[in-house]
Formats: sequence, structure tokens, C-alpha cells
Amino acid sequence: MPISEEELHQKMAKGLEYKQEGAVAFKAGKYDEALKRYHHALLYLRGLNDNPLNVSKSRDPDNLKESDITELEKEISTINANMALCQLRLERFDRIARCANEALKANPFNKKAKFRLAQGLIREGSVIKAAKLLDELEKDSPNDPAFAAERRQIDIREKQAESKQRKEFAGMFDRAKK
Amino acid sequence: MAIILRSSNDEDFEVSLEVANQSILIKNLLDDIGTTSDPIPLPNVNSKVLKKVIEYCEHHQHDPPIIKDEYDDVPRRSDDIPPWDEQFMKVDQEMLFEILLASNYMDIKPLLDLGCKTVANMIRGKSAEEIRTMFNIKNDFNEEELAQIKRENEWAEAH
Repeated sequence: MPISEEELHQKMAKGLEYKQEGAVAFKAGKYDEALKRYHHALLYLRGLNDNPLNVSKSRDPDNLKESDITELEKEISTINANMALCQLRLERFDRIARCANEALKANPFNKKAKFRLAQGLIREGSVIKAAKLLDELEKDSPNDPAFAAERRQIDIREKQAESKQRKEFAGMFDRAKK
Repeated sequence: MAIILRSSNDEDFEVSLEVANQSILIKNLLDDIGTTSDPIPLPNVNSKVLKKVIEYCEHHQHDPPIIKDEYDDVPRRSDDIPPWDEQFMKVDQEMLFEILLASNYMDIKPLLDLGCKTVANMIRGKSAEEIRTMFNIKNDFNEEELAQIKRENEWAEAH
């Protein structure tokens, strides 16, 4: 049963209202509250798509054009990317990538979402995948300081992993000497 | 703790956390904001459909967790529907469509999968004309297009 034009506009407006409230809460540093608003925005906006199952839409990212992405998909993508940032601020590192991936599912051209995904992956320890994403992002804007900052995060983590490994193996080599 | 789901026509349904968590949309929400006694609005699912979706989730709440790569892009079979699920999907076409939409919206992959398999089974072995009649699809090809399609698909026709 397709919903009426009026109903569609109402739900859309309600969803965007929640999104706006989420942005306000975020600015005030209330990340939990912001997440809650964003979730409610999604409850309203998801499913308003007139082609929800993406019938006959190209699944091949190389064939998809940015103009194929609807305004609704862009909104949903932005909301998910904002949620990824809330998770980062709340230090729920395992959830950053989940939100960022949802954002990229709705709009694969969302560069901010791609950046959030890189941030999430780094904090999960998937530094190689993250570095690849940063490479792609840097192609378009080579001098973005945010990317450099994440590269430093990768370095820090790699050094930590290395020194941990050294410690673990240290004992072994001592034994061998004896 | 009970979770309250509110349908598009403002009817509240109480379900257990296990049942609610089968919807990834709701699970993510509850994970992030904590279990809440506030009703969770589902403005894109009406009571009739929500009742049906809950029935499915209640029946499947003790299922083992799905293996993730089961949902990768590998060809899947559609002749492996368990009897309860098959019975559950014996609904009119409108309801079938609504269940597909709701399971996509609420992100309940096993139910979406079941719906798609059901549709696949309805289509299998039928001619284009039969499928058009079944789903009420208008034939909007002109003669020329029809002839071309026939030529292109000759190899697939049974001999």
C-alpha cells in the first residue's frame, strides 16, 4: 500500500526535525542524546524510499553515478556518518565502522563517511584497510590535516603493536642464549 | 525487560528484548541508547504487518545466530524453506509485499530472505505472461521491443 504524498512529507519533515535536534545535541556535547535523536530520525526516514529494495539499481559501484543518489539517501547517509562521529566521541570504537558502513550503503559518495570508516577501522586495529581508505581520500584532497592526523594514529598503533611483540618475544630469545 | 514497539497507526506491542533484537534497526538503537520503556516508533509499519513480523520473530527468537557470510553474494537456493516458514508466508500478495518492505525497513535479514525466496518460488517455471498476470504487471513493450527481446533470449528458450 503506497503512502500518500502528504504522509510522505509529514514523515520526512519529522525525520529531518529529529536530525536537526541531533545536530543541536551534538554541538552541546550531548553525544548520547544526539545518538538517540539520530536513531529516531532513521526510524522515520528509512523506508520512505520509493524503491526500498533497490530493484534494478546498479550494484556495481563503478556504474553508480552520484546523480543516482536520492536526496533521501543523502540525508540517511549524513545521519549515519554523524552517528559514527558520536560513537567516536563516546569512545565506542567498535560501533564507528558499523555506522560509517551504513552511511556508505546509503550513499557510497559520502566522503565524510569514508573518513569515519577509516577512523573506526584504525581504532579497531584494521590499520591496513584504513590506510587504503586514506589513500583514496587523499587523492581528492591531498593536504587535509585530518588525514595526516589519522596517519599519525596508524603510526602510533603500529609502534605499540611492535613494542608489544618485542616484549613477548624477548623472553624467548633470552632462553635461547642460555 | 519488555520493549514496546509502536506501529504507524499508534498501536503499542510489547515484546521481549530477544524478539526486538532480531530487528537490527531496533537492536542498534537499544545498544546505543540502552533498553528503554519508551515506545519505539515504527512509523513505516502498520499494526497488521507488525503483528505478522512479531509472530515471525517470536518463533525464531531461539534460532542460532546467522553465519555472516551466508548473506554474501553467492547464489542461494530457494527450495529449502522450513515448513513453519512456508506456512507463515501463505498470505495474500499485498501482505507478502508489506512483509518484504517491513523486513527491509526493520533490517531483519532472515525474514527478508524468506520473503524473497517465496517470491522466487512463485515466479519459477512461469512464462512472462503468467508472471504479468500474477503480479498485475502491464505489458509495456511494443512489438518491435518484444521481437528484439525474443531474439536476445532465444538461447534460453526450451527446445
